[in-house]
Formats: sequence, structure tokens, C-alpha cells
Amino acid sequence: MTPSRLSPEERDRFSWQLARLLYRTTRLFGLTGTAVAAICVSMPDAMTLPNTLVCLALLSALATTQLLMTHRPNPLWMIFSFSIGLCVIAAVYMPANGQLNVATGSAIAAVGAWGIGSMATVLVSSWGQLICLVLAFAATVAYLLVLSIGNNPRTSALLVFVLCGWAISILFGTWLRSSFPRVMRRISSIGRAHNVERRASETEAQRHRDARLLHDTVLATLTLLAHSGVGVPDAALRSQAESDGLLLKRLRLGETPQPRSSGEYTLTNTAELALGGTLEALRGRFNSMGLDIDWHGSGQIGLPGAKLEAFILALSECLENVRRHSGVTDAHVTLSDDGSIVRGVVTDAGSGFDPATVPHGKLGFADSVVARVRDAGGSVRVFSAPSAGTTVVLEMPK
Amino acid sequence: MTDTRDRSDRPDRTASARATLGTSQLGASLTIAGGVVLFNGLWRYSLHVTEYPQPMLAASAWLLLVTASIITVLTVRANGYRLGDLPFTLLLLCLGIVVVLDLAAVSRAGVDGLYPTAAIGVGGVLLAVVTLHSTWDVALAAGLLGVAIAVTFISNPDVDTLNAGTEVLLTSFAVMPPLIACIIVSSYRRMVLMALDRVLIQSTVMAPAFGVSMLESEELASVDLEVEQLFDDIASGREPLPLEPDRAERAGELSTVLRRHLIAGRNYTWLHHAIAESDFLSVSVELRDDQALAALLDQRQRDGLLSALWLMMYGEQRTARNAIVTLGPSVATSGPGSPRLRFPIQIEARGMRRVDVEPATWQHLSRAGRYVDTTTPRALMVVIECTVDSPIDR
Repeated sequence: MTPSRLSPEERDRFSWQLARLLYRTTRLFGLTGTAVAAICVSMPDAMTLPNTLVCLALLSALATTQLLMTHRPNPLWMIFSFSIGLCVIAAVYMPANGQLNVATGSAIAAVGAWGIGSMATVLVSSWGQLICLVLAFAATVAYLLVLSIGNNPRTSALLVFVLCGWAISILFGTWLRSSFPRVMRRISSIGRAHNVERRASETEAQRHRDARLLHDTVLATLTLLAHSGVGVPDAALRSQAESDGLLLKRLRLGETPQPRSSGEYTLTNTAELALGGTLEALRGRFNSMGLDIDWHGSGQIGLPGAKLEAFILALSECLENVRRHSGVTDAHVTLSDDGSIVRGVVTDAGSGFDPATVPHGKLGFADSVVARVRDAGGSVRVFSAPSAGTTVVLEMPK
Repeated sequence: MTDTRDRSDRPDRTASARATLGTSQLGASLTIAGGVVLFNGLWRYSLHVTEYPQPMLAASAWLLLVTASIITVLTVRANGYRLGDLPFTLLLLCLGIVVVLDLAAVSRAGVDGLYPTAAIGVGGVLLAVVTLHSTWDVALAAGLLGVAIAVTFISNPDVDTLNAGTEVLLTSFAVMPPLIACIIVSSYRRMVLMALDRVLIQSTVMAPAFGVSMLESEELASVDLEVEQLFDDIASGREPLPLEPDRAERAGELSTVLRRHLIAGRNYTWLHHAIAESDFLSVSVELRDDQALAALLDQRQRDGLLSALWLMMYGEQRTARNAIVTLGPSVATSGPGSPRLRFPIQIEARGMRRVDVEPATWQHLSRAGRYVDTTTPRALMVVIECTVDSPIDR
């Protein structure tokens, strides 16, 4: 199946539904005509009682064939229905010697216009059908003219009525027939456009996700701004915002910028790069915002790229928390690598907090640190109590 | 894996497409059919024009009807084949006056053989506007027209009872075409909407196994843009530092939204998106796929499953159908060759019997896998046994 287009089966399905709609139109008009004719011949004094009964019997036969013809489409049923319709007309005309009264005239108009004219709706899709249609109409008109013997004032009104009935049925048929292919073409092209749109959206989403590093620096800056930028020199913040804004603009215009350095801190996701440089940049960045970091332990961390990135970013989030919440201006970071697990411990001697009282919905720590490390396969433990400082242990298996 | 958020946020992406797909521009044939009814009335009026005791009533009715019709045609053409609520209401008002004038002209005449003409022509105008407006409104107007004509006939008993035959014929000639058109047009519209819905969700068959919804990437882009503007304001000094509390709060919100997007990941499978994005399936199908097994289906299986599901839910009758689709649990198959995974997809279609299912559905189901169907008094159960390549092997 070609994506986004209607498959042949689907197309068949909808043409089949269209056919049902056409037959439904025929059925509704046909039954309306038959019902009106039945009411007209049942008027008192319209016909003699036996003739009325004959007409009613024929009309019920007509209704039956109309139902059969439209539920189980078959040319034979149509011919049968048409013949019964003509029989009804004859059964009204003959006993009256071709002279109609108001009621019987109306009955014939109803049968001629809709009782059999309703078939015109389903006879408009091919040339063969059109020929049948023209023949059936001509036959009906000729039949009426032959039966109305002598000078009958109602004949012209009757013929105009029959003509109108057939015309309306034909127009319903052509409307459905001509609009269907157009609508299906339109739907196919909308489907194609939508498919393209979905792919574009997918590519776009991928591009934005690829710019993860960029978003991390943006998030860091936004977090500073969420605290009104307090504690950071105005000029530093402005230049940070400027460079991040520029990166976002490049992303928006279609590039995928991979920031190596943004403002005062350097970001990288390449494991080959010397770790010392990264840690140095981290220290420099926090230094400029008023937090001194003392590094202890290993200067080399042997982690693969994605894990290293998560580890470093989690570390910097922890330091950001210290800077913001602890109330002290220095923190200690201890790094160790025992060959299977890399461990980073961030400690401060600040105000501390009760980990149990941190609201669950608070996204900051849970998402930026815990989720990030867990995603990469590591774990996080927090030890803290009010006014007893805070220690965060990050563990990342190799 | 059912998620209500996606449903409420479902973009109205198809609204504009649907507006252009209206039946309106295609309604020329029905307009002509309406014209046929109208001219039939005009012709009968011309035959009896001299017999009216108060000729002004019928004449003004016809004048108003013809004027209103012409103005409507011009308005509709000028407005891109649309008939708004106000023009429609004005048209109905005019038509109401026409009916009152014409029926008054006939009932005052007190003679037989004089029947409404302009009032019957009103039926033609209603037939012509069926495709341009809500079918309910038109059907209601046609019904009122029928009642008005019938009441006039009943309140003016004829000298000759046989005239009632013509009255029935004329009433049905005025009322039935617009009513039948309303029925057909509403079915047709439903059919087109369904075809559109089908073609729109079809693109998920080709989409990656885990995708972002089309809305999501749009939202991320708009957050990025807002952040960019905020940064620009700060860099250029338009925004004073430290930030105003409300801007700072907004920055916090933005960072939360951004984090959510970056963490969110691709948790939802193509099937989830297909169902959530379909106006039609989203209300009737509940998906339970905790292990995201739908992601493992290949394109042929996806197409089969989606087509079958869609056909099962799309019945001819408007009775509410709904289904619960459960995927899993999965087991690894043992045997020669590459490791494969086997899991059942169970479709529990409530309120359906086997006979309600279209024959094509079974073909689609067999493309997804071997299936077994059972009927319980309340539901039809189909279990498809799917075998897929094990993801470990990939």
C-alpha cells in the first residue's frame, strides 16, 4: 500500500459506498413517489373500489421491487421495477378511458416522476447507462401520450411534472458522480502533504534533540534568570544570554550548532578531550559566579562519551545547587575511579536541608541530576540535614 | 500507554483541510435541481396568473422569491461558495415571507384549482442551499415549510375532495427533495471525513517506531523561540538586571518545559500516535501496550493492524463502537534461525458481532499475523499472534 494514498482496496471501498449512496437516493425518491401515488388513488371517489385495490396491489409490488433493486443492485430488478411502474400507470388510465381526474392525475405524476424516474440517479455513470436512461425516459413520455386518449387538459401539466422528476433524479446522480473523484483526488493530495509534514516534523524534532548540548547551556542560563540573575555580574549574564540567543537563532534557522564554548564555560561531549580542561572550565565558570571549587582526586575519568556527558552535567547541576541554596561560597568535589565505577562527591558546609521535605514535584534536582544520571545507568545519593551541610554522591559504572 | 494529554491537545490540523473539502463547490448540480423545482412553480404560476382575486399577493411573493434567490446566488459566489449564518438567516426570513404571502394568496382565493406556487418554489431554494449550510438547519426549514403548506390545505377544505391528491403531490414535491438531499449530503460528508481521517493516519505506518507527535516538536520550537527572545532582550539591555519577578518566574517555567521536552524521550509508539491523531479512533479505541510492542511490528504488519482496526470501528450504522487493543505479553520463540519474539494482539470490540465486520477486515488482520476470532454475547474478540524479529538481535 502506498503510504498516505488511498490504496486500490480503499478506493474500491469508497466507490462502493458511493454506489450505496446513489441507490439510497433512488430508494428514497422512489418510495416517496409510490407513497404519494398510493395516497392519491385511495382518495374517496378517485376510482372504483376494485380498481383502487388493483392499483394499491401494483403499488406495493412497485415498492417491493424498489427495495430489492436498491439493496441488491441488479439490472433485472430495475427492468422489473420499471415495468411494474408502467403497469400502475396503465391501471390508472385504462378504467377511466384515458380521462384523468385531479387525484388520479396526481397519482400518475407521482409514479412517472419519482416512482420510476428515481432510477435516473443510478443511470448516469456510463454511456450505456445514459442510453438506457434516455430510452426509458422517451418510453415513459410516449407511453403517457398514447394512454391519454383525446383532448386531456391535464396531460401537459403531467408531462412537465414527469420531466421535473427525472431531471431532479439525474442531477442528484451527476452531483454525486462528479464530486466523488474530485474529492478523492483532493484527499489523496492532502494525505501526501500530511506525510511530508510528518517527516519534516520528525526531522525537526530530531534536530532539536540533537542540539542537546545547546539546550543544556540554555537551561543553565535560564536557571540563573529564574533567580533574577542574582549573584552573577550583569555583564557576564548579558554576554551569556547573547551567545546562547545566537545559538538558538542558528538552530531556528536550520543549523545544528554544537557549542564548544558558550560564554565562560566550555561544553563538550567528546570523551577524547582532556578532562582536566573541562573541569577547569567548570571551575572557572562557578568562580565567576562566586563559588570556589576545590578539586580532589583523579584528574582523569575513564567514561564513554554519553556517560561522561551525563556525569559532568549532573556534577555542574549539583554545584549550581550549592551556589544557589547553600549560602556558602566554597564547595568540595572529590573524584575517584576504582576501575569499575566512577564516583563524584560534592560536599558543602552550607545550610543543608531535609531531603524528605523537598516537594516531589520539584523538577530541578530530580530531573537535572537524578534522571540524567539514571538515564546513563548511574545512581545518586543525597545526604543532608538542616544546618549540617550537604553531600551528593554520584556513581557511574563504566 | 493510554494518554489523555495527547487527546485533549490533538491539533486541529485537519480543520482547514476539511473546510476546503466541503461539498459546497460541488453543489452546482443540486442548485440546478433546485432551479427545476423553482421553474416548475413559476410555470404553474404563469398558467393561473389571471385567476388570483388579489394578484398582488402572489406576484409580490414571486418577486421576493426571485430577488432573494438571485441575491443569494451572488452572495455565495462572492464569498467563495459559503453561506454564513447571517445570510442564511436572512434568506430564511425572506423565504418565510414568501411562503406567508403565497399561501395567503391561495387561501383567500376560495376557489379550487389554485395551488401554491411560490411556496413550492421555496423548496427548490432550500434544495439549492443544502450543500452550503448545516443540513440540520435546512432539514428543519424544509419541515417547517411542509407543515405550513399542510396546515393551509387542511384549514381551507376543498369543495372537491379529490384536490387533496394534488395537494399531497405538491407538498411532497416541495419538501421531499430538500429532505432527501439533507440525508444524502450528510452521509456524503461523513464518508469524506472518514476517507480523510484514514489517509491522514496512514502516514504513521511509515513513521519511525517511536516518534514524537507532530505537536510536540512544534511546542519545543516555540519554547526555543521564546527563550531566544528573552535572551535577546537581556543581551541588548532592554530587560533590566536583576530581572523583574514575573519575567524571572517565566524563565523558570520555560526551563521546566524545556527540561520536560528533553527528558520526555520517545515513549510513544507509532500506533499510539495513529490513534491519538485520528479524530475517529481516538474516541473509540483504548490502547494497552505497556511494553511498547507495537514498535516491533514491520510495515506490512502495521498497515494490516491499522487498516483492520479502522474498518472494525467504522460501521455503517452510527451505533457507538469501541475497542480495547492489548499487546503482549511477549515470549521469545525457540527454534532454528534468528531469535524471534512472539506476542498476541487482542482486540476486544464491544457491541459488535462477527457479521458486522466487513470482509476486507479479515484480509488486513491476516497481514498482521495469524488470528483467531471468538464472539461473546457482548463483544467480538480477535487475537492476532504476531511474530517479530527480536529487538536484541538488531
